[in-house]
Amino acid sequence: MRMLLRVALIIGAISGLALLGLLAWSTGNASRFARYYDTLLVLNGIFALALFVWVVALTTRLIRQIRRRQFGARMTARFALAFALIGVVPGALIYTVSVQFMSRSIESWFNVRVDSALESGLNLGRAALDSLLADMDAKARAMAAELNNTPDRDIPLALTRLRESSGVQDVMVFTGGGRLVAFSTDQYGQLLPEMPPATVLNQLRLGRGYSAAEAEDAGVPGGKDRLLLRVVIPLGAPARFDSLMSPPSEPRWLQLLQPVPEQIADNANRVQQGFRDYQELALSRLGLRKLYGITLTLALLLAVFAAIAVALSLSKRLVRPLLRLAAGTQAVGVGDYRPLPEPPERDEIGQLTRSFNAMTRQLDEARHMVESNRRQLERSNVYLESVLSNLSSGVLVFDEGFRVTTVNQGAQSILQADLRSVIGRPLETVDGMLEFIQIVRQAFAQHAAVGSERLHWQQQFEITLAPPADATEPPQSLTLLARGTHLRVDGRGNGYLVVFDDITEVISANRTVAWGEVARRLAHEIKNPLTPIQLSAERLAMKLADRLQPADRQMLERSTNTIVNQVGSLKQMVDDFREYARTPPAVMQSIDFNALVADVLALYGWEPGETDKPAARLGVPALNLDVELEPGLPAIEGDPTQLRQVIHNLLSNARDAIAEQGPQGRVRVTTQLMPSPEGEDAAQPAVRFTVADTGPGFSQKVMQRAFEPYVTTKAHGTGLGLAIVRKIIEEHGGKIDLANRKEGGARVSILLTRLASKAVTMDATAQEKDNAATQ
Amino acid sequence: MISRLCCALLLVFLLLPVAGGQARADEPRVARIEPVIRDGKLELDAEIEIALNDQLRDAAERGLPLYFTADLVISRSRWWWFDETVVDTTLTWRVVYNALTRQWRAGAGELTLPVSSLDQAMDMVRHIRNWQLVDVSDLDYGVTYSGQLRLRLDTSQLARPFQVNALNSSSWSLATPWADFSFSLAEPRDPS
Repeated sequence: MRMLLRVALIIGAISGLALLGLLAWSTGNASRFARYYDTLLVLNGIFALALFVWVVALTTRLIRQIRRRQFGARMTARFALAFALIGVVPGALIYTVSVQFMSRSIESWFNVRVDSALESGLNLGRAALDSLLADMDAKARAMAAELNNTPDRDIPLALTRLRESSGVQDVMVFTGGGRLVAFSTDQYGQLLPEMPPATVLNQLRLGRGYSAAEAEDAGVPGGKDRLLLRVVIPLGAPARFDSLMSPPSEPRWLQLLQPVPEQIADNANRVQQGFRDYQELALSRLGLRKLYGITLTLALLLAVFAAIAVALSLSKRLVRPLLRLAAGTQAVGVGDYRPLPEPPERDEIGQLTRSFNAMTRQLDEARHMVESNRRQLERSNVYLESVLSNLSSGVLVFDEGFRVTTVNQGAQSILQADLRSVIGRPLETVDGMLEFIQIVRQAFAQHAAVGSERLHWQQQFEITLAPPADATEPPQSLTLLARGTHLRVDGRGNGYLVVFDDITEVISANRTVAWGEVARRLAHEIKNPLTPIQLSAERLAMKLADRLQPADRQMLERSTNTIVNQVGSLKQMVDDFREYARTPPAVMQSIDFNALVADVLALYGWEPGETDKPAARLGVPALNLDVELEPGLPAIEGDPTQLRQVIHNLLSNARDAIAEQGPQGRVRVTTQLMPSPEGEDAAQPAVRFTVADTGPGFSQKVMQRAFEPYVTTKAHGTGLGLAIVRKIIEEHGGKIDLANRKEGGARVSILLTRLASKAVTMDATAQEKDNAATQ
Repeated sequence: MISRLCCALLLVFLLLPVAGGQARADEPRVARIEPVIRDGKLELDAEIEIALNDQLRDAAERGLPLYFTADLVISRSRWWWFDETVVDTTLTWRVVYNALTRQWRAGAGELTLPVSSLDQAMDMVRHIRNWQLVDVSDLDYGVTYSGQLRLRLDTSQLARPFQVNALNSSSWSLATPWADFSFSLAEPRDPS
């Protein structure tokens, strides 16, 4: 389509040029195309009109585009204007000059001198002819005089003689009616003379003679006319006798015909033709000017319109790649990085487009890189955040004004507060945090005041958390170990970082260890003197009893009894201490845990198969027991004696907890096989032993320190029960958990993970199979 | 032949007195058209009112040859197709002044005759006589032929600038409008 259009354009341009050329050529008179001048004029006019229409169409479109503020229209217009000016101005200049020059030069052809010279030439010719005519006239008159005296019958002879003597070409005598009387010529072969033309005869009728030069029209413009001199004079009336009788004779005429001498005729003709051509030119100068003017104007119009049209289309072509580039720039601006179609030209525009594409490619790559970096950063941020939020330690980050910027989940759970809304505000705005933040700020201030070389401070402190408003429990105190760092980025501080841990349990464990040591030593030191004290007291009583008065003896016995009793209880206490402090090392063996539980339960009045009716046995108070032992538990590794004590302690605690409830209090005992925790070996299940009661449960304060010695809720008790339980369970590699049940009451769970080695069992079964095979 | 000559009739001539009758007197027009049959040929006589304007007269007196051309078209209508053109011919007069001999010549075709004045020369043009058109044998009897005639100053024979002049100057575009006429041939009555 474009190809077709281009070909059509080229053909149009060529034919336009050809038309113009033909038009210019046809202005010449001699041109072969002269007679097509009108047609060419019309064709050129049509061509110019078509160009004009094209130009108008292009211009209106451009103007409309400018009105619509279409991108690039202004630039196109500017280009087009420049090009059109370049085309039009020289054309108009040349046109003006040519028209001026042409009209001046045409006018300059005609001036009075040439005019009068030609006129004079013509007159000269006329004069020459006139003198020849006068000469002929004289000859004719001489002849006439002679012929008048000649009788009719002698006229032909006389005529010939006279003609020969005068040297005239043709001589003729004829009557007024046109009848030939006599004729003589020096031309051979001309028998019948030519009568004078009607015009001559007409003139003869009116006048006395005729004398003129005649041109024989060649019939062709510019042809060579033959010039003849014709003189006709009347002959006198014949005064003859014989004619008296005859009617009055017609007038007779003598005609002399003589060609003008060749040279004179030639020159005269040339002068005449020159005159005629000059007159023709002079008459036609207006037409000539019009002719050239029209041709020039048409040429100008064609050139101007063609220039404008070419300018418009050329500017469009020139601007198009620039516009494409600009559009590409805009597209890049809104994030479209598609490459532009590259023009095949190897010029600067093409190069520009290619560089532009290279630039957008690089931009695109850079953008992708930034994007991927950002995503990576986000991922690592998310990772860090997840690490931070899964960190059990509390992390708090403050800015320079101690406003919270970051707080992690660990901090919230340790401080037991929802700190998500505090971000951007000081921590003091949260209820109950005043103590904590004051300590932290003080620590930072002190650290800064000390000017320590260390980058961080570390401090252990206790805070008391404000209990929830609806809670009845006393405020809970936490022991925290906190480390703080002044964050420095680029050499200036921009925040504070505090990391803290709840070390309440660690402290508690340390206390346990310390207590164990204290108890062991104390027991050792105290137990030694107890026996001698008891023995001494008994001996005193034995030896002195008989020697005293009954009154004194009674007092002695009372005192010694008191001593012995008190020593006994001291011993008991010391034994307990020793028990706690110096548990004998566990002797591990494979045991059936269910059987062990059943044994201990039997002491509390429970019998297997009997679910609901605990029988009150001798000396043992009745206990409401719900027992649920999962059958088929695997054997576990453990010390039966120690485990028995664990079970006993727990049951005893439970029984004490429900003691006040009477028949309503219940204790629930279960054993369960727990599947192994996720991520660990599937062959490692665990056994869970749970004792739950319906008693008051643990108070918050007790819960934290329940495993420490001498922490008890009972009126009498050493407070060592749970401490011992934990010690044993830890030695068995198990876990113990205290919790309050939702429906009230306490629950203690023990997870025993050390099962009896399976390999042994499997070996045994394998051996049995082997045996079976050999039998 | 003779009989034909005398009795062949010229039946004819009704022609429109041409719209020019009502037009202005100095407007060139075809005043009369008379097709006649002489010697077995259809001939045309016509009277044309045409006068030279000053510019043309001046040009002629300066020796510029003037050409006058009469265009004639005779056609026969055909209901089933375009009209058949029977005659399409032109006749050109040349009027020229010889400045040297101070003589006028005028004539149609090659032949020119000396005339005494320009008006006499124009008379030749105005009175068209014996314009032989076509053999009667080529025509059919009883059929109505319609024709058109006009006379114009033939600028195409002039030099180029005059042609350009003629393009936009009324004095150089002298012409009569087309005059319509129609005729038909009656059956010759043979007296013998």
